[in-house]
Amino acid sequence: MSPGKYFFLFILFIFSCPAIDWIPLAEALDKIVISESKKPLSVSSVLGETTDESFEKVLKPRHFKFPEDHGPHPAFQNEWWYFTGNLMTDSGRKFGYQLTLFRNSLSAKTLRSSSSWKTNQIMMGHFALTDIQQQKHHSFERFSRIALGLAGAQARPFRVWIEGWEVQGAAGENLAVTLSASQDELSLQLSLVNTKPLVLQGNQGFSQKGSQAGNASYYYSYTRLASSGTVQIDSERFEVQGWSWMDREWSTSALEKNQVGWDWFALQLETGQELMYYQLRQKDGKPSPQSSGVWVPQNGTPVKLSDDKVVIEVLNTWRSPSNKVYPIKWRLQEKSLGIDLVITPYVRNQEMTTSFLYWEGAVKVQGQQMKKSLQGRGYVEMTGY
Amino acid sequence: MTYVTLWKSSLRYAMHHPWQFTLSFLGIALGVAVVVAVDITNESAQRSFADSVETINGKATHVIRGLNGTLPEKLFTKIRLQTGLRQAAPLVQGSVFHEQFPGKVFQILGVDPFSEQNIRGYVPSLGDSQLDLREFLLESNSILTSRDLADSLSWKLGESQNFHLHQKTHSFRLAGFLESPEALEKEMLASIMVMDIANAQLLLQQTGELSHIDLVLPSLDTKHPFYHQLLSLLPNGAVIELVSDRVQSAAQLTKAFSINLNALSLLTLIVGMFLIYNTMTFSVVQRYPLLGRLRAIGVTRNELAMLILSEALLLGLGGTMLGLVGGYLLAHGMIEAVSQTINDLYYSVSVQTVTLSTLTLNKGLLLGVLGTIISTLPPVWHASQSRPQLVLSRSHQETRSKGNRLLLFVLGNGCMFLAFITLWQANNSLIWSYAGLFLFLIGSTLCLPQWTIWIVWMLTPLVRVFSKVIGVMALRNIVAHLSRTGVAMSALMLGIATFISVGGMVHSFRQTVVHWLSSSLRADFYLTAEQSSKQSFGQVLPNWWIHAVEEIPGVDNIGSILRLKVPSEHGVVLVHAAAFPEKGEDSFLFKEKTDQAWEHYYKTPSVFISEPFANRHQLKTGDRLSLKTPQGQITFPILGIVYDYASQQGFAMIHRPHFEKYWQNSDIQGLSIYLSSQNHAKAVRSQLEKLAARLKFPVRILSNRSLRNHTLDVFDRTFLITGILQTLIAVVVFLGMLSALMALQLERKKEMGVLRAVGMLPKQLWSSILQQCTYMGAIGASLALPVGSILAWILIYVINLRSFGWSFPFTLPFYLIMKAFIIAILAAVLAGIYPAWKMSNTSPTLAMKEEA
Repeated sequence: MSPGKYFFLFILFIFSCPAIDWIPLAEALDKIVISESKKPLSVSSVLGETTDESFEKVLKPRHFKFPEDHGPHPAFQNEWWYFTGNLMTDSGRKFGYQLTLFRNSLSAKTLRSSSSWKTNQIMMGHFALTDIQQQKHHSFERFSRIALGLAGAQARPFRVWIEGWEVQGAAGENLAVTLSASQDELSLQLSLVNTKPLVLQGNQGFSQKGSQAGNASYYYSYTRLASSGTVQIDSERFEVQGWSWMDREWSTSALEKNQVGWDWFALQLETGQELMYYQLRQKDGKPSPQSSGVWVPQNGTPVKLSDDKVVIEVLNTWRSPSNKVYPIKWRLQEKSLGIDLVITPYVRNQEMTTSFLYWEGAVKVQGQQMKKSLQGRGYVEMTGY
Repeated sequence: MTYVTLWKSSLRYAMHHPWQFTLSFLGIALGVAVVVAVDITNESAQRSFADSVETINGKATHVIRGLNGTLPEKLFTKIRLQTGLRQAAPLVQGSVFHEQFPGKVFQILGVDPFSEQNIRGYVPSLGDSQLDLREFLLESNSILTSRDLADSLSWKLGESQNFHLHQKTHSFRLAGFLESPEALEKEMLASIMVMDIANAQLLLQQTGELSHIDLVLPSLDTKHPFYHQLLSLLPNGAVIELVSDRVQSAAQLTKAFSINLNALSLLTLIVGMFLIYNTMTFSVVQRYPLLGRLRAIGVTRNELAMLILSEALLLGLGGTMLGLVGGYLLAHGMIEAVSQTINDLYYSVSVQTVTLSTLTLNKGLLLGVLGTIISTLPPVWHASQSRPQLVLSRSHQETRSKGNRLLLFVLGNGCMFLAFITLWQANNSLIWSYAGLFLFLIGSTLCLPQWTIWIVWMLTPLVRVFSKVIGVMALRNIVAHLSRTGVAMSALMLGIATFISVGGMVHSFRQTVVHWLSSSLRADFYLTAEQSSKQSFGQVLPNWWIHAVEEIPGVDNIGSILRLKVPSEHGVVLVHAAAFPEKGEDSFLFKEKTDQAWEHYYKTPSVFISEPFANRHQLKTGDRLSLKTPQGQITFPILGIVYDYASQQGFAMIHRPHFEKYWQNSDIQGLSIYLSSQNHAKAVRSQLEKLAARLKFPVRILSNRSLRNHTLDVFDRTFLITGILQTLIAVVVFLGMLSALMALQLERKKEMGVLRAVGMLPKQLWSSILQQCTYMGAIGASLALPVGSILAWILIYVINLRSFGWSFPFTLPFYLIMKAFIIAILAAVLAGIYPAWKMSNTSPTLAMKEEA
């Protein structure tokens, strides 16, 4: 090769070097990050555990006053308005729904500030719709500060809302409210009216959840709310009717150290009775003695269910996409009343893919009481799996 | 002959001329370094901005922005509740300074962590155990930063550090870290601190307000129903912008600034190329005898050309590498100056990363390596094409170049003529303006040899008076070796011309601003609601408060102003709704106006526009400006153009009553206070301060003098970078001259030997060499005066006017001329010392031997 060619090649080499664009390459390499999976958390750890001793504690039964007690209790750390229900169109297409509004106080004392954003009151909302025919479960979550009208709760007139998810209407001893929630292509609009009186859970609404004083909540329920309205999925609109259940609870307590979670059953039978039972699970897998429930016969006078009379047997389990193993079929027996029920979810995957994972879904109930056949529908919640 | 032998001869030559070699090397390195540094600085500033927009806006596709930079916070509730749009995040934005690093700006982002999902990925999500929500929301001084930032400030979790804002010190407590999943964000987060929105509102005194709302809209299509729903909620004047447009428009804003910087970089590039050319020409020309001998003993033309070119390539590569490294380091220093300017003029930006792009690298390499090779081509061609015996003879070269000189002169004049035609025809094209500038510089260097002959011819009788033979000989020698001295003087002339033009431009501009300030600042006090952030124009002064100001004893008159951004056919226009007492009229300096402009201004709805605005939109007196008002589109006649150096975008000024009629807005944001007598100044000021304390927001009270000083401070900071470049150019010129002249003098060894042999004393030798250097310095510098002035004229009337919209008369201060001469002559004299010392210590016999 002639020297001229060497020279030419040398120049070519020099000028082609920087043309190799190494900068985007380096950037691309930097962007490869290993994504961490979300850890399951409890409500209070999502919003922060507290050691604030100045919160009020649930220590003894109280005298409930309505409508005031439908409104918020900011001196307590946690509070929720819990609506679940089973709905059906005239043609028999079934839906399940859940709308829960959680209030959480970050501190006990009231804040004053010239910024309207400043608050220690946080609202979390969960909304889920189960399309039983399509075997689909949709769940959504939202958070907001209770400020600027973005979210809040009030007794007069009764209204609890987090942005567009809202329950409002006439609320005293009786309840006649509208519930509306929509997100993405889903929408739910319902009118709820209680057909049975309010039930005070536990001891006159004082519900002990742990062995220690203060590990308790104030708890009442509307076990049967006649519900009618519309469900919209994408552009399809369904006129629906059915029954809803409302749970109201507030407290400053948390689960005790040896408690890992709970299974909660709220069942509405076609013959007009309701059964609520929550089983607190211990680390050793056994039910906690604080597990408790209520049986509401047709006439509305509730009967307390104690843990030594209730046996829940898991008949089947299911592994969720998030790799958790949930019970998926139960046999619930109550010895003193002679109740024997088999509970099966309409859809297996009703896991709430929210900041903390739990399973909450519509279930079908079949069984008997004293040889009389029982049929019904309900909702089950399982946490701590 | 083998290449190895040839290479050895080159190497030996370099080792025998270490000065020459080192200076060539430095010349190339410096030229490359300056160009690369300017380029890096420019690009880093631009890129930082684009990145910071992206970091601040996160993944948002759109931004809702108020006309005056703020939005009512209720708008956010409306959007959330009425449209159901989930991906909307409010933001309160401001900036603070660290107590220990006062030059560094930190952005405060006030976020609502409940709205941040999917918008700003680095804000920790709820449920992230990293974030103690209770502390973040409830402790008003809680702040989150990136780990890198905390590390750089040695800030540990839970500890507090002090920051300054509005002349107050605030202590922030590090409550957690930002997540930074992406490399780019990580870098940008180095100047970002996140707070809860409530705490940020309190800190930045923006309660009730948001800086903007970031949205992720389901579609970019403006016909999407969502878009209309959103639009119907917006308060008057608020707009939805595409985030990508915002990056664009901000880039436009700083374009003018970067164009100016680029113009300077181009000048440096030309000077740098000339220096490299100068250096390479010398290294070849000096070796003509050696090269001639090589040819004589059988080295072919191609071999010789290859040898020199490879040498140039090596030298170029080495110098360029050093230059790239040097430029990169230099850029770090310059970036600080530039970001200060950008902060003053445009927006808060903290340039964190020095961006070294492939383009910059290529530019540096191209200049350094290719420039070196191209500069070597003419002498190489000459050396390799000539017959060996001719190459050996010096006189032959000079005879030949004499013929070229006239040709060059004609060519040079042609170039300059073409340059002026280009500049005249360039209209608004910056590329053509640059082309004109380049042509002019080329033309002037081509003319230099002829100009030098004329100057020498004129100087000769003068020199004869005080220095007799030695002086005249030294002077005539410049012409005798014009093929070499010419190149050196061209480089000197260009360098000094650049130095003069840049310095003169800044000086003239400053003079104009000083003059403008003294005529436009007529009131005794100026009072404005403190800007709560860069974007905001401040709060509205309540009526009762304004009346109270009027009632202060000693206050003669007050004027008022409201600045509003108004959409128009020319984009968003800054409208000044102004009211002022009659004597306030004098504070406007008119570039042009219609007859009885003031009368018409008060009587009929009409506007005055500022010069940058007129230039930007090519408007003149008598044209009409159509503005969007709540009453619809209204056309206002333009009655005059006023000089204004305070804003680059410019403004339109409208008489207050007319404004109120069309806009139904009687807000006031600023007051100008005229006293009945200066004696009251102190009392009025203390009254004003007392009144100010009764307002909910801070107001700034500036006296005439402090406003003037403040403005000039900003001005000086703006041109700090220009000053740095000017200094760099001076250094480049100085070193370049040093190398060129030293080589030139060392080359006269044989000639000096002959002179010594015929009776010249060492003292006379010293005198001869130093005189010649001085003459060359002086000739270069004096030619630089007219060339530099014309260059300044081009920079001011062509490039600056086009990029900033400001015009001002050019004045060349005497101190600058002195500085230029001192640099030129000092470099020239210093360059002469070593050769003079060396030659006076060499015996004439030895000196006369060519290869001593």
